Amino acid sequence: MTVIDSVQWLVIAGLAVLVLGLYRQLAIFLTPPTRTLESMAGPEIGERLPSEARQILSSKGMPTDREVTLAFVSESCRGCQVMIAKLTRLIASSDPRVTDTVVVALNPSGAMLRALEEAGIQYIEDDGELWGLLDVQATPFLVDVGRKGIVRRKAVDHRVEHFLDSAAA
Amino acid sequence: MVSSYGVELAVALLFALSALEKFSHVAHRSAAWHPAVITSGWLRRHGQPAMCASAVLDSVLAIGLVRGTPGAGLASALVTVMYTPIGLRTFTAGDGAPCRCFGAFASPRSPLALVGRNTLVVIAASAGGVAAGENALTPGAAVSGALALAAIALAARVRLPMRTLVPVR
Repeated sequence: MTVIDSVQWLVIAGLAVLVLGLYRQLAIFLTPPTRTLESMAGPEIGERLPSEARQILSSKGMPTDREVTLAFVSESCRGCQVMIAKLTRLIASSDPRVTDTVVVALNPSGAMLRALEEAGIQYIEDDGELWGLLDVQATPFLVDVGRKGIVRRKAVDHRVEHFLDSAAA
Repeated sequence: MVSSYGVELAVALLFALSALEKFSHVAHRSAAWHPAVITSGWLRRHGQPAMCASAVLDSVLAIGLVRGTPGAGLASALVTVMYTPIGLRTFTAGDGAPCRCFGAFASPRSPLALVGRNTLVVIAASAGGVAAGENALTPGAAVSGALALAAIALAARVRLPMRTLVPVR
């Protein structure tokens, strides 16, 4: 193999990495198939949350006998950042729809917790147990839980205000 | 043959992606929850204007690099050096949630990867600034740019424990 051949293979390898990288970059800007994600992930609509999940929520000071919207977020998820920003604005404007909205943060950092507290957002720290029990596969994942822990609606969506509107309707 | 303009185009793409990401956060008013912003109290309070200014700066640099404006390469190198401590802080104060500031395909996996990636960006930007060449999109420029991007993407993939470079608080 000549030097020219080696250089050509190197160029091909570099271009392959570049194409794959740009493909991934494009995928981030494309709208994910949320309906598919919603149907595949999360607790079943109309069923009660698993008893272990209810126990965890209860142990974290969340009464399970009232209606609540759980918002599952992770720190590095861009949609979650947008959703929390919207939630912050709703809280700042004293919007009554967010009274029973609780953010479930996956392994949040100290900085994230401080920011949530400063924004006045109700939150639960989760090490992945609750996520696993409720089969959360995509974020931001919103679950509307009615009294007695019955799942009423779920969505993979950063438009929290739309979700809360639909939940109230 | 290696083309300094091709390498500058690669850096321009990174800055364009950075600007796009930042403008997106500004548009969604979610700058305060960006991984690079959430770690700093001052930045969080001034997240929107700071991110807007940074996005404008990145855009100007990207345009300058594409147009082959004298000094754009060195300015890009300087700005990358200035961004590096903020990126490192994201790793140390947060949970390691990466900042996709130069695009998801060049998202660093560890502090060392961040330093390595940014060093390559600085070298690439400076190389274009120092070497005088023709500002034309020739096959050589395209291949040089692709190889530079591949090297930057690979540098970002280095996975080493955070403690290797900076202590975790």
